[in-house]
Amino acid sequence: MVAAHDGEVALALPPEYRALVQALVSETVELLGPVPDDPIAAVLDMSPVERPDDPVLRRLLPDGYADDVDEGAAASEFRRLTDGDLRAGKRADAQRVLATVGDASLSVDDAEAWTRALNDVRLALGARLGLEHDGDAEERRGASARRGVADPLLDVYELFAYLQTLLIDVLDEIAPV
Amino acid sequence: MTAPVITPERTDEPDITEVPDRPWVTIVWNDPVNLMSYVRRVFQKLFGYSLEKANQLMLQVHHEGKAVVSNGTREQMEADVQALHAHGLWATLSQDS
Repeated sequence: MVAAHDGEVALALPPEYRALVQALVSETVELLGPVPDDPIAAVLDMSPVERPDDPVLRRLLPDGYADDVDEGAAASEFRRLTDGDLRAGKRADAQRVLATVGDASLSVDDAEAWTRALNDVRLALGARLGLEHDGDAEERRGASARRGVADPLLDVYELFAYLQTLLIDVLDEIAPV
Repeated sequence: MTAPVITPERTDEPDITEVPDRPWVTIVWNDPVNLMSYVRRVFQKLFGYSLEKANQLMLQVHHEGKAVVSNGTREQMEADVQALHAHGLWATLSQDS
């Protein structure tokens, strides 16, 4: 499905996996919100950027400081300065996946962007699944198996972990850091 | 991933805003989602650490709940935290205690 080939990453996703990647990565783009109309004005805007209420978005855009540093002022100022770039970077990674998801091979740079974008999808799914501690996913899997019920969200979470692992293994092979 | 997690307790850190001379550190916190191989590769890529050092830091995050991954000026640590966030890792900076 994912293999090293001539210094690139050969990609042969079954159509249903490709559709899932497309759907969930598009969802990340939507979550991150629209690109600012005027990026320069956005940078110069001195008004604070609120910490997101949505736990999914809060995991994708976390605080840079603990709450007690300058009574939260440091975290707030850090967010004001970095929020735009962080969203833009994640959006760019996601767009790169959407642009290459049908390709037969990925450059190393594209594959690196894929690992980040798949990770963002997994962070979002993890927050939606309420995964807070190591072992929570396994516990949830065990519980649904015992009850004999399907858990499609967890299936997708695990599929993305699998794809991300394959990509990292190939990158370690063709582009060790 | 079955090791116990220490949820970041942000309330018991000392008041670090009064002492300007102590260096700043970047801390990566454990979370149940990030893959060990991914975290290791990010540490190698962002900080230029060897495979061994990156692995060791990744394991420290995993087993102890957090690890200091870099230190320097406040500005440098803000850049490191920003880069770690871009890679989806859970990171904060603070003044070394």
